[in-house]
Amino acid sequence: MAMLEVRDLNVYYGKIHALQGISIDVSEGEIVSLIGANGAGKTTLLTAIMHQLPYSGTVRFMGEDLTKTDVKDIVNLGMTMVPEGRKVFARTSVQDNLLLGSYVRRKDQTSVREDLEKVYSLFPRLEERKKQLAGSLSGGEQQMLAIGRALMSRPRLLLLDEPSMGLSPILVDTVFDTISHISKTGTTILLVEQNARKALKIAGRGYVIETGQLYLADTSENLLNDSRVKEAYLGG
Amino acid sequence: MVDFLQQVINGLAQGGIYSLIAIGWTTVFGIVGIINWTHGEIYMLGAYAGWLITTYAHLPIIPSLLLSMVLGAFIAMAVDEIGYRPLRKKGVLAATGFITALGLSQTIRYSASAGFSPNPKAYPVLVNQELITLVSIGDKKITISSVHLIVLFSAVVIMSLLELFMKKTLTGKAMLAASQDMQTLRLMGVNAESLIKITFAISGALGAAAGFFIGMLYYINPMMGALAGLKGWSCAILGGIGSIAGSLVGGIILGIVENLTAGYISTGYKDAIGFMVMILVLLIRPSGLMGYRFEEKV
Ligand SMILES: Nc1ncnc2c1ncn2[C@@H]1O[C@H](COP(=O)(O)OP(=O)(O)OP(=O)(O)O)[C@@H](O)[C@H]1O
Ligand SMILES: [Mg+2]
Repeated sequence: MAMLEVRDLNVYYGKIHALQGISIDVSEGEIVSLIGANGAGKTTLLTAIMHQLPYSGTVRFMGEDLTKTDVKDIVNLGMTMVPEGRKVFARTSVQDNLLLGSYVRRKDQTSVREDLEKVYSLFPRLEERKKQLAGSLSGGEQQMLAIGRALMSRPRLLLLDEPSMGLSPILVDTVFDTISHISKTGTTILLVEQNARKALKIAGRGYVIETGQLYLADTSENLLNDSRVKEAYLGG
Repeated sequence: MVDFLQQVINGLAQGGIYSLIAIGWTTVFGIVGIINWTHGEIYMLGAYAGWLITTYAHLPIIPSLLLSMVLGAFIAMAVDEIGYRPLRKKGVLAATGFITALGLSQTIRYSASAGFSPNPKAYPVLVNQELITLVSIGDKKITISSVHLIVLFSAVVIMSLLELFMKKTLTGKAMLAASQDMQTLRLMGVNAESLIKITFAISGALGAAAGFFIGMLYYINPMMGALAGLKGWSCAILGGIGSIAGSLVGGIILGIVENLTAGYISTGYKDAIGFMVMILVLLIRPSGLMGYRFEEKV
């Protein structure tokens, strides 16, 4: 049984049928990448999995049916999302952003402090700027903060929505290295990316979605060598 | 000059009261995203709660104030539960909340009028009235009345406690984050509904405290919430909507301006000139004095 099982997921925005029966799996320990063009429905899929959108179909996580579960309880069960566009709390300090990430574990302050140290050792930049307002950070630093904030909930499964968006090439590499590192420390990852080559390289498997439908599902290796993927997503 | 300073001092207690009302408005607006028109009514009910407690239970000032604040908190939470939550669940609060709020506000106002009678009521004497000399300049003195001093001091204590709560507790930090982006805050596992209830409780407690303090200074009546509520909201906008520090400053400014008007021009003009000054400030700084921030940080 996979850690995350999505079956026949349908989402509508009014009359727009944004997800048309999508099914995906993520097993414990994997990095799974989800690629697709602008407007394919990637963000919609992650948002629906977190139950921040109404949907039909089923989502199961660690064997639990999430179709009636509120987002706060999903976080409690161990699934956390880094939303598209970072969404750090701009008028809140860096450290307070991280502490808000630990909200579901607020009763256990000793382990929260430990995790704060871990996030700071992963991203020393954040420690240097911990008293600054998050809105004053650079784009790359904000992405690190968004990832660090999600880690503070100690997720078993981390959903990442385009973490490399808008970053310089060097920072993109740093972000992908960080994701591999997080994976090695035992967190399962579902990664949404436009940067298909890099995303497939660090992943074991991948899905390609097009206009709300699953187009391809295979190992990363096969997808990287697939002529259709090469042409549409890897620049020929 | 001495005269002028005296008028400024006289406006401080009233200003502190406006600040308390304004903070109640601004927190609910910042976090829940609605203009809670029942806020003036909660202030009025807080004043009556204080009147009942001090008149019939003969409790001393501090327990009476605290009890009124607790009642105000519950009333505000009930307003949310009955008036706003059903709309929030349907996702139509932004469009229809205004009508619900006006309806509730009228209902509360006229029920209070029926229950307490429209006649003004006075609090029993809670503190001895005396004039305290702050400074003497030659044969002139600047004084403050003991009641004003206690009202001002209590208002400052309450606002400082709120500031501490917002800065130091995780719930306070979550409230600040909620005013920026509730959707993302939910992703941290925060229960938005409980946060909203806490916000209403705080808003109600502050509104009731303001009502209690007014009762210590003046007669109270069931219609008092209308104008004071409007003024509180205006102070919140003057200070910069969403900013707690701004509401504090906005309230104090209005209190002082009103008193100067009453002292130098005429009591009859005090409301009009108070609003005129606010309009002028907003023409110069449309985002209010303290901008758009929920509160200032390093
Ligand atoms: N709130 C909304 N209301 C209406 N339509 C929406 C809404 N959000 C997304 N859509 C539509 O749903 C489709 C899928 O959007 P989605 O944001 O999931 O795409 P995406 O794959 O994440 O794209 P991108 O790579 O640009 O982030 C698009 O056609 C989009 O226009
Ligand atoms: Mg997207």
